[in-house]
Amino acid sequence: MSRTTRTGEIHVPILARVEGEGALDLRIEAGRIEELKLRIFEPPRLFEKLLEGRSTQDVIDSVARICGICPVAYQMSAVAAIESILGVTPGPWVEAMRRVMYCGEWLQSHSLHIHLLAAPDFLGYESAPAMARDYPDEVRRGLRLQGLGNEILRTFGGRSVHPVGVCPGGFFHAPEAATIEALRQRLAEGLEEARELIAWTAGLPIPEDDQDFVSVSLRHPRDYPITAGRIVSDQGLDIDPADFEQRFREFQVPHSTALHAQLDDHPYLVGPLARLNNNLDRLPAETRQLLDDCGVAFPSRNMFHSIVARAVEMHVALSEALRLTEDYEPAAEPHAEAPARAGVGVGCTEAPRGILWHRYELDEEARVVEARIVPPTSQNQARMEEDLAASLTRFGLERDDDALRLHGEMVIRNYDPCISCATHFLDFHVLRK
Amino acid sequence: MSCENESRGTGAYGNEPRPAGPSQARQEGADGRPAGHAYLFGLGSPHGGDRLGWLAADGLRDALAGRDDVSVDCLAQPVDLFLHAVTASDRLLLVDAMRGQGPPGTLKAFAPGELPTAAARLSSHGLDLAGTLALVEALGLFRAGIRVIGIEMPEKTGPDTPGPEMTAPGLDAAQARRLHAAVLDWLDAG
Repeated sequence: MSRTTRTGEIHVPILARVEGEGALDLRIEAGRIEELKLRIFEPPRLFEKLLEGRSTQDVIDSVARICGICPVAYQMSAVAAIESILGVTPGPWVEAMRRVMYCGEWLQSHSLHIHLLAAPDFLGYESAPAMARDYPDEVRRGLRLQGLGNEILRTFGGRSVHPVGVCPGGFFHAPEAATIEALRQRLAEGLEEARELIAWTAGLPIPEDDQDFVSVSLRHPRDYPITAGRIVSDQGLDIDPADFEQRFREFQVPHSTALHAQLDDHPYLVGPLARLNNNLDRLPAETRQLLDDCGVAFPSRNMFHSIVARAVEMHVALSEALRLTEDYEPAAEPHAEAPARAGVGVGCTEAPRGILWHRYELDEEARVVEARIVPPTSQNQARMEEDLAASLTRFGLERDDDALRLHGEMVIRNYDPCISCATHFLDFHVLRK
Repeated sequence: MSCENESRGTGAYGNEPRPAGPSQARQEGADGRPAGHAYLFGLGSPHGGDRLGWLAADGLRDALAGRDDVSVDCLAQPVDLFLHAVTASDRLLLVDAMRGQGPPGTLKAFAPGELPTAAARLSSHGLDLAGTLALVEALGLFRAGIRVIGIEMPEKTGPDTPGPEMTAPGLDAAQARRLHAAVLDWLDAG
């Protein structure tokens, strides 16, 4: 058999260093990929059905349980949708502190992924502990920044795991000024580490792998998008989140318990790289300068530059948290009143892994009649398969199975997929005769 | 400050400064604390049988209040131990709920290598106990000793059993005394 006409099958039965249960199946015939499936076999979790009949506060607390690392994203998309139905407009203090809380989530999620999940791939280690023996300072930096993100979550949410501080109209409680002052000292220390982190990620041996893809993200009139904005793409899409269903379609494929999604019938990318590609002009000035100095050009078509994008977003998160807590004073009324009202509402925010879209219908008692949640990992599934086919082909299908398996896992991990989040729905059909 | 006071943004990990430790892992002797300091962390959450680690830490914090050679705190996730000023010369004692090791309230001490290997997991959602201890070892921390004490949960603390056993498992006086004695033995064995 010649090196260019290889035939065979490769199976990665369990994906390591991602959340949830998935696998990769690859069939190569005559040197070409004939079939590639990112199989998601984690059981569906049926969260949308569980929300029916729940009160708005139940929704906010329950959706936080969908994800252990992005509970704030779920809460913020949910509360935005709910407030749009109830006719509640949060005040400037609430808007600012929600953005700070969300920054905490970006910080902890991105730091974990950069230092413990992705960096070992680029540096050639089989695990984070193996890398930690040679890069102890970098791993400690990652743990500190992750811990700082958790600290922000605790400050506003009472705890970092499944926080409980958010309610319709705002927060249950405003942090004391002394608490925020102590936090700000640590944020300033973290910002210095984030500056170094951008240069460090840009200096990693990142493979060259430019591809064509559509970047989809939120875009805010003024700020780097986190809690609000229109849904845009680098191909001209510019819609209100309420119009999401007109252009985006979710559908089931036989090999996945998580829905796939397409924009105008094509795969698309959400997440840090897409956000950065679409929002370079919304970066804080210092962050933009650091990015310009790091030697990696954005917008980027190289999916592996996601690790640099995450580092940039950690700097954004720390800069924004510091800016928004300057001259902090606790709000006398940390939440607005939220009367019960029926209606349909949509919320869309930027989870660490990309846009997270929620739609709720509430009855007159503001209880859920119907819920729909579209998480980022579902949206990225079709793009991941597209990426795997292109990246493995460029890598070289003639390579041995172990090399292809490792490269495939690296491609998947680069998306930081949360399979547990994605398997939220089961399209169940029964045929009876 | 009790871990159990945690509520909607007002608890021990809410709007008050954390009770123990500088913000970052320190260099040796950076805060003047003598080498060989002990850290005792209760692992858990406010829910069900998982509360036992926090309940134990709350009780031990009071019982050990007169000692300056040990810091006591509650952690929602093991990886949060890196928020404390830990060094190579310190010692670590973790207290966590466990299942399948005897009647409710049974105490069992583990060395890191004795933990079930199936528990080791590193995912995009964080580090579990075994993964955290693997990082601790790789970073060369707590070389003066690591111990994990498991407390057997009540049988009926699963999600199918709402009611007092689900919401309020705890240690009775005898169990709390045994735990205190085990911790003192470990501390004084230095």
